[in-house]
Amino acid sequence: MSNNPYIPYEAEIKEVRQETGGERPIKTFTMQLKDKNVQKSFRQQPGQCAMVGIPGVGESMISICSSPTQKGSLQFSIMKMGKVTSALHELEPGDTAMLRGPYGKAFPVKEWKGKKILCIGGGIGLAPLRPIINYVRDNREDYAGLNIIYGARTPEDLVFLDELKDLKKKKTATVHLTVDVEAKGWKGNVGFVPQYLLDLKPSPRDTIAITCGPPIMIKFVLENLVKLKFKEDQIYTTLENRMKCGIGKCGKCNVGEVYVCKDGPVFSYAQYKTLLPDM
Amino acid sequence: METQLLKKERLKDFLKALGGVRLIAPVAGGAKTQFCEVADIDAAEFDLDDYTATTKKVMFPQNETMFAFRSIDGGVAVEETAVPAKTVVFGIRPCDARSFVTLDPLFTKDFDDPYYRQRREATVLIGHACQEPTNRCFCPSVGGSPSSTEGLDVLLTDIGESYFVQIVTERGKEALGGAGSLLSPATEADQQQKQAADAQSAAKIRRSVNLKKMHEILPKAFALPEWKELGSKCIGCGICTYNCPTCHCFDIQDEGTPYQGRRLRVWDACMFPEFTVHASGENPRHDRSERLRNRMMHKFSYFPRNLGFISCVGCGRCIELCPVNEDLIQILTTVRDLCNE
Amino acid sequence: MDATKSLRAIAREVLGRDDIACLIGYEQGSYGFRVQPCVLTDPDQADRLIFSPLCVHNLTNYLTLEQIGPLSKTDIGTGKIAVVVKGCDSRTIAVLCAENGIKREDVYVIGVHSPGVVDLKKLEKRFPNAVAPAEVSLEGDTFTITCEGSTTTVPRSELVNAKCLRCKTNVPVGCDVMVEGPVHSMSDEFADVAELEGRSLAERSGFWHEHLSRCIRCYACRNTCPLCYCSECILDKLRPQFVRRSVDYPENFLFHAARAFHLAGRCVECGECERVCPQDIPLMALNRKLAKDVKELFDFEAGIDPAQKALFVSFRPEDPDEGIL
Repeated sequence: MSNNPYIPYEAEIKEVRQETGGERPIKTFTMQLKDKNVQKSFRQQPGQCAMVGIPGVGESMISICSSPTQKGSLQFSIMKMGKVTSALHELEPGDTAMLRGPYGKAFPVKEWKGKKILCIGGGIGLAPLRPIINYVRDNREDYAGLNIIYGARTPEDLVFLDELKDLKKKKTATVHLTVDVEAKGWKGNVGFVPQYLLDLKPSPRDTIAITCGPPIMIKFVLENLVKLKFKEDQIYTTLENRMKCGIGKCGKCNVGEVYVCKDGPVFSYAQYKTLLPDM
Repeated sequence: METQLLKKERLKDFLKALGGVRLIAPVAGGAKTQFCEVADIDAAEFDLDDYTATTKKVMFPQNETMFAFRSIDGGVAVEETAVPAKTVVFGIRPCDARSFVTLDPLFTKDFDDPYYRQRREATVLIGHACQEPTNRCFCPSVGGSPSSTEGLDVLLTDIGESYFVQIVTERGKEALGGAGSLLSPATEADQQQKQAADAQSAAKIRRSVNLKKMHEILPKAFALPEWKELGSKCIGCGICTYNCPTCHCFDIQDEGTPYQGRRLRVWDACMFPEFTVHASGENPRHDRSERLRNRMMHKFSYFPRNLGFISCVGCGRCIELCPVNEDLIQILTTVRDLCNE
Repeated sequence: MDATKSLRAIAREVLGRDDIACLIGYEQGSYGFRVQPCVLTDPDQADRLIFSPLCVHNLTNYLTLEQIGPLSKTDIGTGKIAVVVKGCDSRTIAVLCAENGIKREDVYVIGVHSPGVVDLKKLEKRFPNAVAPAEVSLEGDTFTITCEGSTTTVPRSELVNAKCLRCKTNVPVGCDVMVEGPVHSMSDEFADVAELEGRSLAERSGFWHEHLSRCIRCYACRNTCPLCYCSECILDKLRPQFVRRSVDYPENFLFHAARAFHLAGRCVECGECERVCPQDIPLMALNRKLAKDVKELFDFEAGIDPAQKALFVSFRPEDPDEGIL
């Protein structure tokens, strides 16, 4: 293993699952670091990210959407967008990708023990929340509750549906789904996530709310959480920006005086408010 | 601090006596003086009166191969780059030497950047004090001076027929080992000449900017509508960033094919429109004035607050070279006035 | 004639009109000989404007940048952009209109008869370290420079910008209003290009190798050029990638050659690319070579006639066709 933080390591693609289709499809990749020593020292915490890439093409910072309780492999939900993610979408089980990490500040899961965890996600934004959902699922006795409010544009854009249904069935979590517009065959709620949140009126008592999704959704969810009397230190979000080095040196991802790669991507609402002018 | 004297006519002997190292110095010739590797010291024509050539590239090259890769059976082999050779940079200005003191915490704190750090460890800086600061210089405003020794291993000050040599660090002393016989002790008279030379240079600096509490004023000024006008002339090129000794933004690119190639880092500038553009097309800073404001905030507020140094050494290259006269002295003074500080 | 006074009077009137959104002109810079572009929106600001041989910038560049001064493109709305132009600058507007880069009715062109502008690098070398605002005026063949308390006169030919020694006409074309002044017309035989052309292949290759190796790809030449305004520049593109981001002679050569060819038949030789280059690369040598070729092959000069169509959409039966099989 090298001390050089820019050196990536080989990871074998174990499984590729198509989550959504369309022009910007999302695939979930399950990868396993080939080198056992690297695998052992790669102790990621929920909320952290890794630089995933293909030599000759480039790297992209992707949230690790699996919980550390899922040992031996790492999962990444990747939307096909640009040069690197398009190349990653060509990969199949057995292929090799390169990755380095873990980077960033994780969700303070130890601090949150004993509390109810409320996850509010939109679209692909559920992926960065999945590690905390699964971490709480696997350490359920440490937490007082797990509630998920999740929505997308259409039913086809919802990700990890099987897992969410499973959580609901096993009564590990309450799950409330919504889509933006009426859709054939959809019997669930219709409406934007921020409004659905207000309709459901979750209690702020002993609760930590975490949200991730499109920037506009985050904005309104945060406003509504405050309306529902959540205090600033009870609200967390995870942000995104264009990143290159992943370690706070190249200057690309700064929002105000913080680097999203190093000082984030997890931010409390109090921190998020100071970053707003530069977003 | 140990002080010595070196006769100016022995300069080339002095450089040759440093022995077995890669020498980088300001070489005259062609349209511009540039700091470059000197293969033949005798044949080289040094230009120690130049103030424009930059030295950031010594520690932070514009192109730096991070590693080479090639595909092998069932995977990818990664080959790290070699450790840089021992180097002496001669003729560097005090402001440019101070820039490395500023860049050190950025590149070594939290995560160690081996490319920068190894070059830093392998390089000895022998400076040349400024005799003729120009109308763009304002180093005293950021805590520097034309004869500052901060960041240097050795400083040479021209006092007429000789150089007054200050050996600042242990590393400097070690580097000068082979040249010992060329140096003679500096006298009291030499000392006085040195002080006079320093005072003379300092007096030539005529521009300044008040940076007191600027790191607190700037965040307060973030939402001022005047930024739009202050940044309106900017054309979004990289002249200021690339010539700035303390600007450090970079991009990482892969060259070659997935079968064989290299990953390298190249200089990038937050002033370029595509600096922050996301793959989705969204750009958090799509306005030129937003990018200019971000650069000011970064250099005079974020960097000092995070790492303890103002990210500016007062060399004034950005001011002199900007095609449209975006002048940080004018900008920061305006901001201070608008905040009534 | 006091161009500054006339210009301010015009600006006061223009900025008072309802159909004008802003006016781009020149004002005193932050020190020494510096002059800076300014964007004015109010008649009260008109007295900030100046016009002197220090006004080197081609302000038409701002017409094609993604925002104009304090106003974004959407802020401008239906108002016109007024812009102060010299003879060379006005040609840019003609080219931009011919190729539909801008609409003529969206701009209000204020022309000024410029007697010539300085070569800033030569000026600052001769009068170094000016801090207090300095002034330069040009009457006939003499510059008068007032700097740091003393006044000096210098012959025009010694400090004037190279382009002003071969200025075909200093009367701006296609203007809505004009600040009159001395008129001149010189010839341009492309002697500088012929000299370079006369060198051997090895010498020319060495010339470009020496200069383009110094390029740091700051993009100032491209960003300052009013005719480089593609929303996604081919030199930036990553998908597909034509020019690598690494900075070395081969990539630099490709960068500059590609840009020069994209400007062939369009470049008005305002010289701004060379002026702004922080590495003193003689970019005009490249652009002028192409301008000379365009003149010889197609008898065409970019932007001299606002009614002229763009070169590559103008076909004459007598155009040379050695390249066509």
